[in-house]
Amino acid sequence: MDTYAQAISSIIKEQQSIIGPVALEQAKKVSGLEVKGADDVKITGSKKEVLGNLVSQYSKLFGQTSVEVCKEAFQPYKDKIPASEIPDILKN
Amino acid sequence: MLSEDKILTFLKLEQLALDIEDSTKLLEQFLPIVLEELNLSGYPYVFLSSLFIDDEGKIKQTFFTDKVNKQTFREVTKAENLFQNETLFQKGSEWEMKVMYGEAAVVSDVAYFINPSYPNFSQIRSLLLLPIQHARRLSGILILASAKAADTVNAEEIEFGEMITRLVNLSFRLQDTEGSLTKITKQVYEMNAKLHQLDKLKDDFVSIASHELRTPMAAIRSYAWMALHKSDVPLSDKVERYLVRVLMSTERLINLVNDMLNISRIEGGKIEINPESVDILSLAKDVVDEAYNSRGVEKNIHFSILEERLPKVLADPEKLREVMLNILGNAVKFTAEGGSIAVSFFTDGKVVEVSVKDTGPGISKEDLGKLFTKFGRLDNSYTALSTSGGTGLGLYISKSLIELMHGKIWASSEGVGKGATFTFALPIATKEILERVDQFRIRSKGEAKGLEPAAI
Amino acid sequence: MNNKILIVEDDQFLREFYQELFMSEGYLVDVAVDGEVGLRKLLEGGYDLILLDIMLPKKDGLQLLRDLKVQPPKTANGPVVVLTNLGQDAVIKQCFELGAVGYLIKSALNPDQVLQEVKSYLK
Repeated sequence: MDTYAQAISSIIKEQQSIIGPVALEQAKKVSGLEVKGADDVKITGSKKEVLGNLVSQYSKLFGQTSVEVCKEAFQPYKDKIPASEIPDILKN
Repeated sequence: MLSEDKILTFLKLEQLALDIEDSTKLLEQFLPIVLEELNLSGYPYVFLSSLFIDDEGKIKQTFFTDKVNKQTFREVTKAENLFQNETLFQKGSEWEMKVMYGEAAVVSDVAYFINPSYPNFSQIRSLLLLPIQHARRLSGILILASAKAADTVNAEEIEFGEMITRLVNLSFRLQDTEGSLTKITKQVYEMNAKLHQLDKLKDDFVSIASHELRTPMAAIRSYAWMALHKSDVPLSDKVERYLVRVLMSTERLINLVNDMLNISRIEGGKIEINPESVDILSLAKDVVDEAYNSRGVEKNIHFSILEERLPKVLADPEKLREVMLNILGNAVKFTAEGGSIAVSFFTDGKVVEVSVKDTGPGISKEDLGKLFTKFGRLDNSYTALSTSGGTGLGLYISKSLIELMHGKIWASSEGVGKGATFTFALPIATKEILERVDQFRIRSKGEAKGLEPAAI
Repeated sequence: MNNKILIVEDDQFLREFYQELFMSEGYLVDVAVDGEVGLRKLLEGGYDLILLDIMLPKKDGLQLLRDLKVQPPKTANGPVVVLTNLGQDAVIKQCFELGAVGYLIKSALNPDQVLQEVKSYLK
């Protein structure tokens, strides 16, 4: 899995540890993202957009706290992606 | 009876309501559509407003939409400045009576309701008031502002208005429920996020604290040992006794730290169980040897193993070993000099039971229940604690591990002074079970940790 | 007459430590290993000072103090000083309400300090 896919997988897992199976269900609703399991994700759309959409999906249902959780899970991958390729919702 | 076109309009509005995606903003999007359709149906209402009241008749929520010009409709706003009174139903007037009893009312006293500063005030000649009901109580009013006089309102208009009102009511219910649900979901999420964070903090704390504790413990133990065994001056009996006690107490402390770390890991789901087919007889022999060599020999305890042909059991060998060390270690601790410990087995084709019987002080009936709890120290066992290095946590850990391996553990005793028997049972590793061994595997949540060594 | 001290403490090492410490100062020392034995000895009475651990098997320190209130000893006893560890404030307060006059934090005092405290209670 490339960096984006890894980041997405990490975000999904972190959400799972907080809210359970709903996290996976919500991830499956994101267009451009194929999710077979938390460890098995494939990005079929624009990487930056899909990542942003995933965070938005969680944000709609769970509010700002979930965005903070996404940011935390994304942290280790931040340096591996150029700033321009990081969706705004994940920026501080 | 309503004319066909009115019914069609109603059905159309119903479908439009269902088509709105974001239920949390249902009325905001729906009401302008309703006003438009009403205008197109031959009812050129100036504005439409729905007020919702609480049990005391006070207005708690309002929605308002009007035509800015014939084609566009102003967005729904909360009409605080529009309505004159905060509380309806105060004066007992005729319209109030009608509406409270579920009947529509038409009023001409527009100024009673509407602030004359409203831009389209002069266009309004009458107001059609339609009751909104919930659970057989009045929960609000739908107000339709008409440019026509009150006496032009006929039965069909009222009937149509009532149908529209029901639709608005249902939409409001939906919006309200959806709103509550969203709020609750967010609250639950926040609480969980907090708990999750606390959990992580607790793990960090336990890890760091254990490490920090063990460092000075190691120093104390080392120096005490050196003083005892490598002293450059001969030690008096008194000093030797003191140093032995220091060493025993540090050992007790270190065991306690290890046990607490293990419990924290087990309870936090960080322990993995990797089951395989285990030869329990050979493991038992190993553990008995270890128990004998470390403590049994000095107490002159006689060990026996009643050998049998046994099927292999399904267990995680590392965890099973810890459990057996704990049980045998306890037996050694509590058996007096010259006593005996017997290990025996039993199988019924489904499980294998392993029993360890000692000739120690036994356990009373009340105490049997306390055994497998944390710090469930028995009042009769405190005498062994200082000198044995035990922590009172071993059986709780053993029970947790055995149960993670789908087994059972229990104790029995004929009473005080009559020894005790500790038994655990584990499933047999049948071919069928081995085929689905992955179902018995337990992965850790997050980073997996091993167990700290158990003490004998 | 030498002062007579009763030590009610379940941990063997600690109990024997206090015993040795006080005996070397010339006090007469009696011990009890749990709350039941402790109560029995207290009811016989005649101790100039009692060191009472709170967490005891069979009957804890608080319960022992309550029982003492109900039944007076054959011979009067001196003050009761509670042996505690850090963080037992709430229980210590209850002990005071039941008649204890002081407390010693086992893990915080070195032997010199323990002796000093005991001497001050014996005055």
